[in-house]
Amino acid sequence: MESDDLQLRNRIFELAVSIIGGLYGAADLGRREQEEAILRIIISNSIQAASFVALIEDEFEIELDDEDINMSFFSDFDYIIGCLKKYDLSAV
Amino acid sequence: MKIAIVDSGIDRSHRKLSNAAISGVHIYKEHGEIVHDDDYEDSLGHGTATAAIIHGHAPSCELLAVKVFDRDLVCEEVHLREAVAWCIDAGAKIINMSLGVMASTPSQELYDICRNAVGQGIVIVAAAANVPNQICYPAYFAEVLGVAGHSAGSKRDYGFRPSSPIEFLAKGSIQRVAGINGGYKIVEGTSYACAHFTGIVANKLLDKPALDHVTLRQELASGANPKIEGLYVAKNNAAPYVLPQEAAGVVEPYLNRRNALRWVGRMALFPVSEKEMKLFGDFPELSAFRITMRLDYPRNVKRDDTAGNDIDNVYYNFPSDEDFDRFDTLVLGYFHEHLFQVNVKYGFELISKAIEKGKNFFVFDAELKTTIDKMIGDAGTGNICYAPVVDDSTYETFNSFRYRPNISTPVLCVTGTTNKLGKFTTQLRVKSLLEREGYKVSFVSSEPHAELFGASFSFPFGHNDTVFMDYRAWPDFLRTLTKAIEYVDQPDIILTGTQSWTIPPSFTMHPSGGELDAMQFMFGMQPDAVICAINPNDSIELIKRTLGVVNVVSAAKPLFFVITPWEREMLNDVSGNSVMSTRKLTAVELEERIDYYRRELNAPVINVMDAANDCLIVDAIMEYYS
Repeated sequence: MESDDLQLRNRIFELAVSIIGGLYGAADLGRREQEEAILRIIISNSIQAASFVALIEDEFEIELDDEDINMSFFSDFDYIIGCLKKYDLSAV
Repeated sequence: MKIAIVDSGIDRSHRKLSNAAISGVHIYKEHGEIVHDDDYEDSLGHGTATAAIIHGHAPSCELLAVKVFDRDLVCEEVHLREAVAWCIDAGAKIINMSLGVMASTPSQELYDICRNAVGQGIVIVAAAANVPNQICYPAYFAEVLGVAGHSAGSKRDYGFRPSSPIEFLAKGSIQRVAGINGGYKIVEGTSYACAHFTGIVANKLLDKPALDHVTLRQELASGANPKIEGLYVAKNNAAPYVLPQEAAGVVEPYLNRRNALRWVGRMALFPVSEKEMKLFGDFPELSAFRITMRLDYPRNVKRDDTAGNDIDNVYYNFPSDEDFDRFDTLVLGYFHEHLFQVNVKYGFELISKAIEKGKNFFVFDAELKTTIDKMIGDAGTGNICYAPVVDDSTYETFNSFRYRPNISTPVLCVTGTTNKLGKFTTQLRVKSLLEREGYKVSFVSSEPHAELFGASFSFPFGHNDTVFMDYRAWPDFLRTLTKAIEYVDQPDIILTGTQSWTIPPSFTMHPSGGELDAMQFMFGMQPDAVICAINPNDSIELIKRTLGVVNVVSAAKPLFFVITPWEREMLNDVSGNSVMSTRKLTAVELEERIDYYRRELNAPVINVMDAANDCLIVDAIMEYYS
């Protein structure tokens, strides 16, 4: 289970990096700090933020509940993972 | 149940609205006229977003798209009024207005249509401004449920802030909403908080359709999550557009001066040789209170036993004990500024005796009031000493009226090119004539003795002013005052007048300041029309410059000019110094000057004291305002 979470986390991380086009200034940070930095950059632009949500939905073939898309979604990878785990991701 | 969404229209094809029953209207202007058609398709996405949020909360409700935004999120207030009117006709139960007019003072028309809608059982939910503490209508109207954003996650959670002008808080933080072309967007703001709250209200009304407006608000308040807080710290520096029930009662004593000064029964005036006091002698019939004695500095003048009325006699000797029985209130001018100290001493002896005799005082000067209050305190007699002081506490008293709509009552101002033109006399004449015709006149004067002539309110600037209020606050206070007068007195007209010069006579600032008082006063009172007083030797340029200044601070138009028969000229005295001399023009000379100014100004110029002009005065005012 822990391994599944890690895989999920890594995949979200890759998607997030793809949205902003690279790690740039966050490259030298630790992983947690990188996650926070990336989400901060994503939410700084509403189109980027919408694209990130759409990318996750496409990737995992789900439709996120709008109720789940809030500030926590754009500040905490654990929260995103928690939202995704509400869905059956086994087929993905 | 129908929910109207006054916004940018709705994209019916959006997946989030696939099951929604939607109809609507597009309200726009064409060739200056408001027109309607049924093309309410949304090209901006804002309306679709709010519609989808509301539909998400209450999917069984029919949505009415009322499109007022087209190319951008801007429209005129007239579109909003038309939209609310359309919603009333269309049978909407709730109107969602994720928009607003950012203004410190809303229009009466917008208020009226919103109040009308609510009066017909419609609930209006409107967004607060996204800028913290920015006043925004209709959200600030008491009849409207104003909504700001909270940062909690759930769309069903909402907060209630009873002490705030915007009472409700709903989900306004980062969220995904429907966008144009079937897309989505990540947004935040009060618009979406408003839509969520509309959904919450809809569910409440679906559950309890019979709730009236008051009960609905109470139920919403009691169902709020007490832990919900706003996105911003509310400074709460803006009073809501809610008139507390007691508001009228709080300001009433400030406006109904006759009642507030009911302790004034019979007045003695001192010293009657002063300019302000002379008016009582010239027009005793205009005084709101009975004058029973007129006192002046000691002089060896024989009492005129042939005078028909006792008040025609001026007392130049210290009153006897019996004389003190003839009045209950001593009205005091500026005797304490008299250059001859003996006269000042005489005045204070008069006051001491009056205190001893249990008399009350109406004084024009705040410092004199302080002195007399101390004398009364020392004597322990409890007499009343009143001066028409306007200060921050007065401002606070009227604050409830600050955010009412701009007044619709006409405001007429008497102004003039210089001082000593009889502006106050003109005001009293106009007031008297209008009242004689049956009009209700509220009178806001800038003279310290005006309340004794029936003024609703006195704002005495100029010489020894008793206005202790930050200069920058004058206009706001005066506009608030007129709103309160309109609400409480419901007059047909508000009459007012300036003091002294309109344009400062020189660029040299007087140590006491106040050169711009008249302008600041007019800016606050915002007259629609002015009566301009002139001297018989004023240059046309000075008169036109004066009217130019009036136009800088207001949109007032001159109705007519009044001319004083006193000509002023600079003469050299025996030492060669320049002195101001006044000379009363002969009737022929005055008529010549009137003819001259009529020609040059192309407007009526009259002697206001001539009864032959009564009809002209009333007709000119009534014609202008009708």
